[in-house]
Amino acid sequence: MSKAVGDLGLVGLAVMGQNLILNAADHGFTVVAYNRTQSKVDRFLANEAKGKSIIGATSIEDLVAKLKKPRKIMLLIKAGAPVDTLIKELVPHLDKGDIIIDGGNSHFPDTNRRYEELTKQGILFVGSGVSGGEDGARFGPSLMPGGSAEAWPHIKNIFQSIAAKSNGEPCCEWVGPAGSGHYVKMVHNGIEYGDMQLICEAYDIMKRIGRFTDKEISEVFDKWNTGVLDSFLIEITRDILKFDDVDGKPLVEKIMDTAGQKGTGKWTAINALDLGMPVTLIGEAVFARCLSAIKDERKRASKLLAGPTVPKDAIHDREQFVYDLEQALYASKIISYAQGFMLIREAARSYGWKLNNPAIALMWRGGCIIRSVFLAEITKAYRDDPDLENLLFNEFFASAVTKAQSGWRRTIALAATYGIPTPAFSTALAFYDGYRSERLPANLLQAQRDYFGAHTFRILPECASAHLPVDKDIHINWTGHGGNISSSTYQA
Amino acid sequence: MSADFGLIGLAVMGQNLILNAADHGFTVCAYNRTQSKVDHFLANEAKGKSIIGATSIEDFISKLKRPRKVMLLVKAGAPVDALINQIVPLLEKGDIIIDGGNSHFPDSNRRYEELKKKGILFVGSGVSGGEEGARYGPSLMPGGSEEAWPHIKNIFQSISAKSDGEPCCEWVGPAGAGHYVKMVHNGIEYGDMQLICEAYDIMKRLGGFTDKEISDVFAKWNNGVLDSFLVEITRDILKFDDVDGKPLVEKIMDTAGQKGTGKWTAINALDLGMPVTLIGEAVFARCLSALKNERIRASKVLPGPEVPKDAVKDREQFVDDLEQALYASKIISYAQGFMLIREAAATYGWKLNNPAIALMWRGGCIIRSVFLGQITKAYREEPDLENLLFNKFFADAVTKAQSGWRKSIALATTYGIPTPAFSTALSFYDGYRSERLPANLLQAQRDYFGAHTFRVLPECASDNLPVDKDIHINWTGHGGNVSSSTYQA
Repeated sequence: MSKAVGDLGLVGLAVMGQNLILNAADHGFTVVAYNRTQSKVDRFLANEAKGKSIIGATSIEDLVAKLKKPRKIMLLIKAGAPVDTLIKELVPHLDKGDIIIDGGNSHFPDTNRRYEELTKQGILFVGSGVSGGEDGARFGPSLMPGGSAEAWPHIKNIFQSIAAKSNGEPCCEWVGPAGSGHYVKMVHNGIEYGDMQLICEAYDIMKRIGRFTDKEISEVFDKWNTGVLDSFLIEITRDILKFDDVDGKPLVEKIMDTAGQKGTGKWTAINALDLGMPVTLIGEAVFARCLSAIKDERKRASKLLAGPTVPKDAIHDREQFVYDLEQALYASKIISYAQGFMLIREAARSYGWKLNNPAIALMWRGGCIIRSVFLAEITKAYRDDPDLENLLFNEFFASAVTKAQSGWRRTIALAATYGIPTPAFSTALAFYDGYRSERLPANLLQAQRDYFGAHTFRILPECASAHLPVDKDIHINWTGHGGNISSSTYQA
Repeated sequence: MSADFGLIGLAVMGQNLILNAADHGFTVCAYNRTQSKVDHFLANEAKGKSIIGATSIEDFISKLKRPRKVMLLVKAGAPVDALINQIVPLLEKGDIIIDGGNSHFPDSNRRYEELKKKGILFVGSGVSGGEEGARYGPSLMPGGSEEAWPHIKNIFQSISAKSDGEPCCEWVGPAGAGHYVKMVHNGIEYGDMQLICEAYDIMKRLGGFTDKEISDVFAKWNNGVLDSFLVEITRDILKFDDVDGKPLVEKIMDTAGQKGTGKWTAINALDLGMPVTLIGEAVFARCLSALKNERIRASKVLPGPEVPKDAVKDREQFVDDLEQALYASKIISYAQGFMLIREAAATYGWKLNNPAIALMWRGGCIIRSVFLGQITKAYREEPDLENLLFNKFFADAVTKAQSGWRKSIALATTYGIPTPAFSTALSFYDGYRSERLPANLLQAQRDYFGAHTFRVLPECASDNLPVDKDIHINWTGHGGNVSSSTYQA
């Protein structure tokens, strides 16, 4: 029997790696498993992988030798330097045309670099987002591959077979060149941060203003999951709030309120700042995790800083309160996705990528943490108009926000009045009101910048005149005694 | 003739700083890559002053007293490196290069290390105050090679602004610390400006005030707790008419520009994991304003609520509430800015002088205000103050201001006026003062779908839920036992 029997090699046997291997085996592929720590391979083969088409490798050389050509090696290890180290170990053993797939949460500039470096060496590099967590990896993740398009025909079958399906379509399509797959995964994670923060704010409002018990809140999420908010995160929130510890009390109430993060949400916010895109909700969601992390400081602050008291009759109509909250959550979610797609659109333009927007929404519909019925509407919006400038310009979403906004405004006003923090809800509404404003107070800001820094400003076309020409950078001597030299006008 | 120091870069800041130094009795050598700018400057603004020109870099260096002090006021980025590379071969060990531009602090960190190896003393100095400040008294925030400080202290403190007789210039700290503090200053400036714009927008679109009426409000506010340069100039801007008698400000395109420092502050906050939300929103607000054409299209498609004529019933109360909202939000912005500085000091291993930083920002700076006198006092009383909000003055001020703050935000929310900075300041305050936040649910979600593990509150610990351990729960009843490793990145 020939030694080269593996359809796919996978390196990294943590939760994602193991489950992806089992998934591929269930779909009829022979997978070669390898981990730097040999005992993990042995243990995996003797337990979870027993009786399946999964074989182990004892070294990098052994792994490569066991793979059919062109060899396909997927890496599911910690992002950063470990990926580079592993690639460096692999490359000398590979032939031109072999494929390396990085399925970790790598930062897209790293993927861009790896793609360039490996292309020069004749190796086909794929940076693929993988979403869905443990269950997703095991039974159907969303896969977002980008990089060397030449690799796609060789991995398409495996990837689409093991991917989640939504209305019969695999939640996996080719995203675009270089680091675009990891870029889209990063934005997915950013949106996930936003969705989770929004759900937390809804929970906090029900708990601290409405005084609902966790069981009552679980029932609300259960009800919401049958409506426009039908989604995986709402579903699991319902289940989490119902989950009791051994003493019969809700386990969630025993959990420390300090949120961790592994980088992708932060990267999304930083990229938005770099590209000058107002992706405010993800920014606030990342900062909300940072604020939660300073638990000891918050304890001290809670003893010194006063807030309003929530009266027992704060909520007059419980049903209306829950309805308004549902509208606030829905409208804010629309804004978050609109911002996410604004960022993707700007990235495509800035980095010169041609991206498939309907496919991105489809990929996120199944397997992903952010999977929801809502994403079907987004897919439809982009299939109707692939170059849609903004989700808010689509009739479905414009109408949805219009209908939801009165509940949204009431909810935020209530939270502000009674002292419940709503960074994500509030920034979504501020963005909506800003985005729909033909005139914003930035004219005053430009005047200030010109006053103290001679940074110059531009004139509205309808107000132009001989001494205030349109499309010219103008400096005004506001004080009557400054000089005539201005700063150069540039953005950095 | 020998100059006390040389300055390269004859744009608005460079020229005015040279004139300032000359007025204080220093002889300055001026140089610019474009010779005609030197000639023009010497024949006009610099005429009759102790300012000499140079015709080349070599000529420039030869005209300086030792140790030579060379100040660069050129565009940040590669031009600074190019210029340093040109100058270094002409210098001797112990000479001083001062970068006074808005350089990004990692660049200053790098330049400091590189020049140190060559025996050149590098200073990265923030310069704030704009044209007027540079001319009559800027705030100067020098950091880098401390050995250089005794040689430039006199010049720097002489030309700097004074606040209650104290120069708004002190040594900040090592490496890129001076530029770091300047960056945070600019971030706070972005925040102050955005807050003022939101107050203006609310008065205009909700209150129906004219620009003159709003100017009167800012004049009144400038006599109270909001006494500051930015409130003062806003009053003047709103009074400034164009030749046709209409307010000039209303003809200005509402697309805000930015030159990078606000963005760098927000990015640094994300990198360090500090919730500096107001500066983040201020930067994003400029980005949103820049989408002017898209906003014009959106305004035709996306509706908002109508503002009824009686939206504001008590005009005086409305203005008072707005003043409180602006004041409280400003306190939050500065508290966040100093949180960031504190975290940077810990992360980068800098020993920073917090009272001096507040003092430096009190005069000459764009963000100068009476308010910074209170911050200086807070840090002088307690140099290691954990947070400005823990100082009695500021805790009391926010407590008193919050009802007006909440009313202003509720009103703007109801009637559709965007208040990203006001709202995020309030959300931060309410989050910061919460012993319990809903992040417990978030941790549960992360453990549910990604096996990312969570920690348990000490008061809820038990045998099956031990304290200080990373715990993974099988929430669904059918997942595996392997979890992800727990780390932050």
